[in-house]
Formats: sequence, structure tokens, C-alpha cells
Amino acid sequence: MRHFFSSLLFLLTLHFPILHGFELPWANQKHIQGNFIQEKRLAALSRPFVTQGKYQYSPETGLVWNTLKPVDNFLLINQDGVSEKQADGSFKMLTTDANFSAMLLPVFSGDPQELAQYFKISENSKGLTLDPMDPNVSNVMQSLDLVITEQALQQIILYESNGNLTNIYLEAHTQLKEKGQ
Amino acid sequence: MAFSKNSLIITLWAILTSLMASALVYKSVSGGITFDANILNVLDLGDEINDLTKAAAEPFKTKGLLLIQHQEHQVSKTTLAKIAEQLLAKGLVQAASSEPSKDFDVNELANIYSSYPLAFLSQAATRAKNNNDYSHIVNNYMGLMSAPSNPLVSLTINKAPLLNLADWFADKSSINRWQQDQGFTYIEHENKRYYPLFLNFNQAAIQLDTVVATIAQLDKLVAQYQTSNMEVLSSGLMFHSAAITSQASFETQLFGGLSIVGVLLLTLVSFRSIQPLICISLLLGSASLSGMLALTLVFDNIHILSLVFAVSLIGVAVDYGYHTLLTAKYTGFRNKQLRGYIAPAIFVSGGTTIISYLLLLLLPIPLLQQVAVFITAGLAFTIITALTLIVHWPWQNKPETHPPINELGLQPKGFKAILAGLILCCLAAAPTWFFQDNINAFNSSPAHLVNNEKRVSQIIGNQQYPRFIYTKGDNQQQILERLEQIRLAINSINGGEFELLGVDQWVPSINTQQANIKWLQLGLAQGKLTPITDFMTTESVSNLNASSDSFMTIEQLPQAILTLYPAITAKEDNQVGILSYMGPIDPKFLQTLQQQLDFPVHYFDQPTKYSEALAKLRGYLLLFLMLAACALLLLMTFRYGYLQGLKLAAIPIITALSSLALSHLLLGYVTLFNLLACILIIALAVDYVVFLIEHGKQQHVIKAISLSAATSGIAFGMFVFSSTPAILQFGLTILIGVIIAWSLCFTLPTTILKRNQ
Repeated sequence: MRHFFSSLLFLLTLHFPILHGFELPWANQKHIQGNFIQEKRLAALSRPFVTQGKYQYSPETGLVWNTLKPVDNFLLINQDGVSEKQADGSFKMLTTDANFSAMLLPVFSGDPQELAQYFKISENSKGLTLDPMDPNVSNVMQSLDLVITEQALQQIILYESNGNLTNIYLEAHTQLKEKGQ
Repeated sequence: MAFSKNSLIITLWAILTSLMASALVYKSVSGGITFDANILNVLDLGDEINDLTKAAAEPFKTKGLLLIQHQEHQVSKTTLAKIAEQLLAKGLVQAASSEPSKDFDVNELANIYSSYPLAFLSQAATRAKNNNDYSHIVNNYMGLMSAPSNPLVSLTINKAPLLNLADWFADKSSINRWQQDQGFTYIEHENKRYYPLFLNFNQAAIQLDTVVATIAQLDKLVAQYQTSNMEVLSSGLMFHSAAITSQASFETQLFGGLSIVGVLLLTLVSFRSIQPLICISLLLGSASLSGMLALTLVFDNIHILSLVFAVSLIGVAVDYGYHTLLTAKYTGFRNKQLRGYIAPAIFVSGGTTIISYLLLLLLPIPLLQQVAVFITAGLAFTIITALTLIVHWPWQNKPETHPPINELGLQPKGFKAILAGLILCCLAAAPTWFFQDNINAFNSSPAHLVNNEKRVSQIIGNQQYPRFIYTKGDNQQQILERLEQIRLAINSINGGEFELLGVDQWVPSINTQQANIKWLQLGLAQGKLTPITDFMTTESVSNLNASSDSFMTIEQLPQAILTLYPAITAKEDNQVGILSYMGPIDPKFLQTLQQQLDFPVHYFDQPTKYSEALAKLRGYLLLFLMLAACALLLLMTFRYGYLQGLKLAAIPIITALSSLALSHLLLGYVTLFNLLACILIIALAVDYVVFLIEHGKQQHVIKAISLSAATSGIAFGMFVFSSTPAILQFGLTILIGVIIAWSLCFTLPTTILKRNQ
């Protein structure tokens, strides 16, 4: 029993500093990069569509989403939308809908003000639940669950209104540079 | 007894006028009077071109554009957002977006298009289909699925699992010409960044009676947020419409006010009494009332230009007032005696003018028919007013008798010299005679707006207003097929450099849809799409493989999309489809395009069509003037005998011809508005001549003619200061005509006026 309470206390102390006032642990990092595994579970698919690759985030360039398996694909997500790198090096805009692309950027920036601008934020046992406030977005994207460890964003679960679900597992190799340095 | 009879007649006149006023007020209050300012509705463009013009212009009618440039990009963006917010809050615009055509609902579109999961291929996918390269479909799928989130994928994957629809929508929402900056679009030009604000105005905000206030509010907003070193450019038909309406309204009020003051002052000075002034005011007011009432009773929709030209009624109507008043003053005639003396001259001159104007009803131009109805009714009531109200007015003054002018030893000379001068002018103008029918000659848009349009064209790299290319077909499907072929041919000529807008962008022909379905189903059958189908449920795959005989048609498109493009119009057994091309078109381009097509393609050159319509209208006016001259000759010879009638009819005809010639010498050309002025000149000159021949060259006749000429000169002479070319041309010719007519009548030898008894 004592052991149980010790564990509970440990868990609480683990989460409180992370989420208090939504001070996300990666918020001070200028660059974030790492590997990801993305698993799409869609009603139209017989099995999950799994992709693997690297990601890189910086406030200046936005989020680079470089899929390496099963195909090589390079996406740039920033305030302008989602664009895909073509064979000739140029970028083709996949969607210009800034409302949607803007959703992921505050998640990676960890800026609580930006998050609060786009989402209604609530805590859950593993981290945060983000409900989009823009009705055009919430028609498609129901909510995002962020699984947060002491140091980093570990997983993003994206629930869509048609029952589709996307699980993104992140393995961070952060460059611990303070902002402004 | 006489006074009571006069009172009865005046009371009857007042009752009749009150009834007319009541009827007009009732029509006005009950919304029975509608006005139209669309120039297209007064020009006879031919039914087909008329329909095409309207169909082609429709998508651009409510569209406006603001371009904002400042060194600090953030300032441009903030200003743009504030202006957009305020315009929406004020209800002036339906949409104010930094992206073009973002007012459609993607959810709704995805719902409609998902019913045809294999029918649509993006441009890149179409190229892949032509090369039988399925790898594009596979790569596209993998790319789209790799993104953490893409609304197009989410909305379409359940029904169109190959994601060809998501690719199609990405194509449609691409805004190739514009670059992105944090939710804003921009374009670079001469190292400056211009941020656009695409405006879709509310229809109600850009009507004739609202457009000036709407644009004034927009200008105020721009001025409120505009900072130093900020460049703001505007483009759109409503900006021109507001400027022209505002200018015309200002000029109408200024010139109208000045001429009314001038006419009233002249009347007051001439008669040195308030009573004639009241008579003239009542005569003009009741004539206008009668004209307006007749117009609203005969026509459902009144064109604003009809009212402008109907103003000429004042010039003619006032003549009868002056003649009656001056005859009463100088002869001492009253009541029945006065009526008996003045009536023949009024009937002859008024009848000639009315018959001339009635001839306008024979012309198939609603504008001229409206002018005819207004003037005819107005003149008819003018005659009634002159012969009842003015004749029976209880004048108290004693007559002022004066000897005839020829007995004063003051016989003005110079008739022959003036005539010779006029003939010389006609001869001088003849060799370079030129009818200006080019629509650009009538453009009264302020220079800064025209320069704005040019600058916007340079910046965005498109022609600001599209050129229209159209083709005919037996049915909607043939039209769509032909539009697709034209699109292919134009893209092969210019490499897709300029935008080409048409409804075929959203609904491919059934043939194309069939071919797309067939190709994708073949890929499924041959296993070329296995990397995709591996992820699909068996049910999804079998659904795609099931043959489909339903295809998307234009009728299924939402209204928001349909309003973006010229509609396919039905004309008798044919259908006509239009493409809006934003690049330049020249004969060589058209020839190359036609060579690539096995069906005729037409260039709809709007300015040329307008110019042709103006030329046609001018032709009708010339015909009318010739008919009016013939009617005048007939009436004059009928009443005054062959030779004298001929001589008298020659004066109005010579006046009109030489006014045109002098206008030509001054302007370098004449337009249909100069011809319109000739109608009034003939009417005025006929009045002068008829009163001279009927009453002789009496002082009161000359005085009435002089007063009439002076008032017409004041009223229409003001028009030469107008910045609206059409009004200037109209006013100038009338001013010249009035001077000539007065000079000829004043110097007219009395020998010509001697009547054969």
C-alpha cells in the first residue's frame, strides 16, 4: 500500500511541474527534431497505414515532416499551409487551409498562448486534450491528445469526427538551446 | 363673370395636375417605379451578344480588389485584416478574403464529389493518365497519407479511397499566382510586396442608389487605416460606377440648379413681375410631371439616361410659356381672344415637335422610346397649360404696345452672311467627317481610377478584366467537351501562363469522366494500384470496380461555384459556353487557337461589341433625323405652301446640320449624343420659325424667341463644363444650335415671312 502511494506521489510530481500553467517542457527549445512513427487507423483501410521518418521543428521554418518509409516524402508544414517537396526540389501546396496546418504548429512550439488561441485545453491522465475552437476545423478534427513525459512530447493522438484516428509516436533528440541564444 | 370662368378653368387645371401628382406619388410609394442604369440595356447588341454579355459579366459584377503595400509587411497585413473586418461588420460585403474565391464550403463539395469516386483527376493525374503512368496515383496517395493531418484526405478517403479526389481538390484550391505569408497571400512586384483583399460586395450595396455611399464608406475606412508610405490600389467595376454616379449627380445638381436660377432670373428680369415667373414654373413643373407619369405608366423600368435626355423638354416647353405671356403682355389679348391668336402657332410648332418625337417610337431602342413618351406627354400637357392656365390667368397689367420690328428702322441684316458662313462650316467639316462610335470616347471614369486599374494589371500580371472566348454546341456535354479542348489548345500555346476560368474546371465532360473511371478501374484490374489496394478493405475495392453509369453534371454544382464562372446559356437550339481568359488576345493568337480546333471558336470582344451597338444606335438616330426632316417639310408645305414651306423648313434643317458641322470642327468628331442634340435643335428652331411666320416679326415674338434661346443657352450651355463626355457633346451641339437658330431667326428677312393669303 505504501508502495502504491509512493508510486502515485511519483506520478503526480511527474505531471504537476509539466502541466502547471501549461508550461510544456519543450517550450524553451528553439529546435526540436527526432524520429516518428505514424499510424493511421482509418475506416476505409483494412489495416493501419504506418509511416516512419524524421521530423524537425523550428519556429522560423515550421515543421518538416520527412517520411522515409514506405515512401520517401518531404512535407513542410507552416503558417502558409502544407506543401510537399517535388522531385525537382520545388514545393507543391497540398492544402492552403491555414486553419488546419496551424493546429500542429503550436503543439510543437509548446507556446501556451498559441495553444490557447486555437484549442480549448484540458488535462487528462497522460497529458493534455486539445479541442479545436474553430468550427471549420472541429468539423473534421475532433480533438488531439498529447501524451507528455517529463521532458518531451511523446505521442500525439489525433481523433477525427468520422471515426478515423492517427497515432504519432515521437522520439525526440532535442537540441537544448534556449530561445534567444 | 369672366373672372369666375377663368377661375373654373384654372381650378380644373389644378385638379388635373393634382391627380397626376397623386398618381405619380402612388406609383412611387407602391414601388411601381424602378430605375435602371445599365448601359447594356439601352444598346441593341443583338439578342445573342446581349445574353452573352450578361452571362460573361455576371461573375465579375460584385467582385472588387484592394492591393495594399507597405515596407513593413505586418502593417499591410494588419491594415488588410482591419478593413476586411469592418467591411464585413458594416454588411457591405459578403466576403472579404486574402485568398481568391474562398467562399465555398469544402465539406459540401466533398459530399457531392464523393459520389463519383473515380471520375475526377487533377491536372497532374490527367498527364499521368495520358502517359499511362499509375505511379503518380500511388505516390500521391503515399504523400497525402504521410501527412499527419490533411482535411482533404479526411473528407474524401471513405468514399474515394484512391485519394484522387483529395488530389483534385488540392488542385482546385491552389492559388498559383499568389504566394503565402502566414494565412495571407501576396504578390511581389518591383521588389514590393502587395497583399490583396478580394471583396465580394453585397448586391444591395452596389445598386445605383447605394454604390456611392458604399464606396465612400470603403474609402473612409481605407483613409482611417492608411499610414504614411502605404500604397492602396483598388480595382473593380463598382469603384468606377460610384465615381461616375457621384460625378453625374454633382453635375446634375450644379448645372440643374444654376440653370433653374438662370432661367427664373431671366424671366423675372424680362417681365419685372412675379406672376409670369409663377406661370413659367407651373408650366415646367406640370410638363415634367406629365412626362414622368406617362413614362411610369408605359414602361416598367425607366432608364436613367432617358431622364437625362428628357430634360430637353424644358427647352421646348418654356417657349410656349414665353410666347403666350409676351403675346398677352404686348397685345393686351386675354382669354378666348388670346387663345384664338396663339393657338394655331402653338399647335403647328408643338404638333411638329410631337410628331417628330413620336417617330422615335418606331426605333427598336427602349431608351429613345422612353424619351419619346416623356417628351410627347410633357409637350401635350405644356400646350394644355399654355392654352388654359396662362391664357386664363387673371392678368391685371395694361398692354404695352410696340410697333413691329420692321417699322422701327432696325431691320437686322446679315442673314445671307450667316447662311454663307454656315455653309462654309459644313463644307469645311465634310472632308474629315468622322462619326466616333468607340465606346472609349464615352468613358468618364476619373483618371486616377483608370491608372489604378492599369497598375493592378501590371502587378498581378493578368489583364484586369477578362477577355471572353466562346463556342457553341448542341448540348451541355458538347459544350463541356469543347471548352476542355479549347483549354488544352490555349495551354499548349502559352504554357498555362494566364488564368483561364470556366465551369469545365469543376465539371469535366461525361466523356472525360468516363475515361478517368475506365483508366483507374483498369489500373485496379491490372494490379497497378496494389500499393494502395493493399490497405483497402475488400468492400472498398469491389465498390470501386463496380461499373458506374452516373456522372456529375453542372446542375449538381453548388451555387457558390456556379457564380464564379460565366454560365452556359441556351440560345434557340444552341448552347453557348464561355471561358474567361485573363491574358491578352490578338488576331494571331486567335488564328493559332482556331487552327488547333475542329469547331469554330469566337472571341467576344466586349468594347468592340459596344462600339458596334453604338454605331447601330447612331444609324437609327440618323434615320430618325431624316424622317423628322421629311415630316417637317411635309407639315410646313402643307400649311404654308410649297415654296414658303420649303424655305421655312430649311431653317431648322440648316441649323441642325451646321451645329453638327461646328461641333465636328471643335471636337474633331461627332457622336450619337451630338445627333440626339439635333432633335432638340430642330424642335426649337421649328418653334422660332412658326411663331415668326404666324405672328410676324413683332417685338414680342422676337423677345419670346430671344428669351427662349437665352434660357436654352443657359440650361444646355452649362453642359459644356461637364466631365462626362456624352453630356458635354450633347450640351455643346445644343448651345451652338440655339445660337445659330436665334441668329437666323433674328436676321430673317421679312420677305420670307410674308404669307400667301
